[in-house]
Amino acid sequence: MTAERLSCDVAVVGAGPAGLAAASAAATAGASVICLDAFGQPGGQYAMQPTQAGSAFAETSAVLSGQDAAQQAAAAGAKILCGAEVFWGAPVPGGFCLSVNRQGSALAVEARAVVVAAGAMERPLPFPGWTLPGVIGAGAAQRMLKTGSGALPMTGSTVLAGSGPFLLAVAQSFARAGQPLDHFVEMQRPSLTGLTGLFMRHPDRVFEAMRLGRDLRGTGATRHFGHIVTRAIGRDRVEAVEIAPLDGSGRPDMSRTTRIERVGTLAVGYGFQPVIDLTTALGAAHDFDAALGGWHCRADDDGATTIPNLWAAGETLGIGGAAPAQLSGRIAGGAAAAALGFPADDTAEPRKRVRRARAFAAGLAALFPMPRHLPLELPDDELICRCEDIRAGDIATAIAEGAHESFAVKTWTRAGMGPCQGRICGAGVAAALARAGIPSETASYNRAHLPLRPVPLPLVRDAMEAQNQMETRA
Amino acid sequence: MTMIEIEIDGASVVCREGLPLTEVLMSGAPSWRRSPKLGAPRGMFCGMGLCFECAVEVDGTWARACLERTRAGMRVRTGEGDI
Ligand SMILES: Cc1cc2nc3c(=O)[nH]c(=O)nc-3n(C[C@H](O)[C@H](O)[C@H](O)COP(=O)(O)OP(=O)(O)OC[C@H]3O[C@@H](n4cnc5c(N)ncnc54)[C@H](O)[C@@H]3O)c2cc1C
Ligand code: FES
Repeated sequence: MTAERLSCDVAVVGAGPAGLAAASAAATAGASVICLDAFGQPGGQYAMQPTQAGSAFAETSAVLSGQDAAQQAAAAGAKILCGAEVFWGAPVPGGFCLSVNRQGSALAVEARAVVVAAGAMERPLPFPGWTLPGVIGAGAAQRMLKTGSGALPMTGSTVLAGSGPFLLAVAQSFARAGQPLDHFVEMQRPSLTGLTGLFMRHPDRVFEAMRLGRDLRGTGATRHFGHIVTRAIGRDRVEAVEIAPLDGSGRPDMSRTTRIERVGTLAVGYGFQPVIDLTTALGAAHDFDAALGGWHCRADDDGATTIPNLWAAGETLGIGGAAPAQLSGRIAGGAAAAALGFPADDTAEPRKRVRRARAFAAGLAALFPMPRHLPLELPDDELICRCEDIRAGDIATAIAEGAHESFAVKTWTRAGMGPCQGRICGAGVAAALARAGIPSETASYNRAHLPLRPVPLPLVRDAMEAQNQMETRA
Repeated sequence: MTMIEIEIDGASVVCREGLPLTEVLMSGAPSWRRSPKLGAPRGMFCGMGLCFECAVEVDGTWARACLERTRAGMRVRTGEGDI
C-alpha cells in the first residue's frame, strides 16, 4: 500500500481550543489548512464532545464552544480530520511532512508550515499501589463521565485525589453527571489571603470559582484538605485507599492514616504537563518552568518556535487553561499564514487578552504549587515504568551509578523505551532524579523517537516512503 | 439511545452505541491485559490514548480501548481472553 497524500499551506496538529482557533485564523487569511486530531471529534480536552444524546454535558458552554469553533474553522475553509493521529514529523524541502495514522491507514501530509497545538496531559506521579487496576487518572474519570453514559462502570466507592484546580473541575463533572463521589482528597490547603488576592485582581473569575466550590459540596464527598493518598491497596484491583494528613514539614503523618474501604475507583491527578512529543521530534528548543507544567516548547509572542515555519500554540507552550490556549491559537495561526505571504491579521487585542488570561492561570498555579515529587517513600519494588515493568529500585541504582539525565536512565533501564515513550514514566523518572538532587535542567526530558505513538509497522513503512520521496524530490 | 450487540472474547454483550469501549470493559472488571514482565493485571489508566495500558484487539487490529467507540458487530479480544 502507498500512503494517501494531502498537501496544504498550514497543517495544524490538535483540534482543541488552540488548534481550532489556529486553523480558523490561518484559513481566514487565505491559507489552505488541514487540522488533524487523534480523537474522534474536535474539541480537545476543554470542549470534549459527548457521544450520548441527552448527555448532561450536551449543553455546557464548553461543549457548545467546541462545536462553534469547529464550525467556524470549517466555514473558513479548514479541513478538519478526526481520528487522525500524527505519529511522526520531519522537515522536507519547502516545509514538513507529517505522518498520520488515519483510522488504520497511512496518510502523509505535506505542509509549508505546521502549528503544533497538542495540548496537555496529566503528570502521573507514582505512589505505592498506583498500577493497580481501578487506579486511573482524574482526567480519565472525567472523560468517562463526559463521553460515556454518565456513570462510572466500576462498583464500589469513588475517591478523587491529588492536587490543583483541575480536581475541582473533575468534581464539578461528577456533580453535573449526578454521579456519586465519596471522598475528595486535596494535598494543599490553599491560603484564603492568596485566594482573595487573586480574585481581587480577576473579579470576572469569582463566579466560576464559587460554582466550583458549590459543586464540590454538591457531590456529597467527604473532603480531606491537606491530605495525601499514601497507598492504594488491593490484589488484582484497588480495594482500599490509605490517606494521611500532611504535617507542618509537608510530609504525611503516618501515625494518623485513615483507610477508606470498598473502593472501586481511585482517580488521581497531580496537575498537567505539556504534550511535547512532536515538537521535540521536530527539533524545536524546549524550556523548563515548573509553573508552566515543566518542559514546554519555546516560542516567541507569535508562537514561532526555534524552527522556521514551525509554530506552537495552546498548552504545548505551557499549562494555562482554555482561554489563553484559544487566543494563542488565533495568534499563531494568523502569524503562520502571514509568514507564508498571506495578509496579516491585527492581533493587538488577542495579545492583550492572552497576557491577562495567562496572568490568572499563573496566579492560580502559584496557589496550588505542583509537587515535583510526592512526599512519599516509594518501595524499591514499586513500578515507575508501567510499559516495561521497571521498578523504583532499578531506577535509583541507575541514578546512583551515574545516570543523571532522563535519556541516560532510559538507555540504562529501558524506562521510556516502551509504547508510552516516557509520556507516563517521564514524570516518575524526573521525580526520582529530583529526589537525588539533580536539577530539572540537567535531568532534561525524553526526546521522542519514531513512531511517536505505536502504529502497525506497514503504516510506518508507507509513511516513511512518502516522506523519503518528498525529501529527495528535485 | 440505540442498543447494539458487540462481541468481547467470544461472548455477546449488549450495550449502548457510541460508548467508550473502556466503559463496557470496566463494567466487567477493571483489567483486561497483563504487564509484559511481571504479568500484573492492567486496564485503563490515562483514558486519553497516551499510556497504551488499555490495549485490545478490535476486528483483528491492535487498538486503544479508551479511544474506541462501541459500534454494532465490533469484535473485541482482550489479553485476558484466550488469544
Ligand atoms: C485530561 C485533561 C482534562 C481537562 N479538562 C478540562 C476541563 O474540564 N476544563 C478546563 O477548563 N480545562 C480542562 N483541561 C485543561 C485543558 O488542557 C485546556 O483548558 C485546553 O483544553 C487546552 O487547549 P489546547 O488546545 O491547548 O489543548 P487540548 O484541548 O488538549 O487539545 C489538544 C488536542 O491535540 C490532539 N493531539 C495531541 N497530539 C496529537 C497528535 N500527535 N496527533 C493528533 N492529534 C493530537 C489531542 O487529541 C487533543 O484533542 C484538561 C486537560 C487535560 C489534560
Ligand atoms: S488508557 Fe491510556 S491509552 Fe487508553
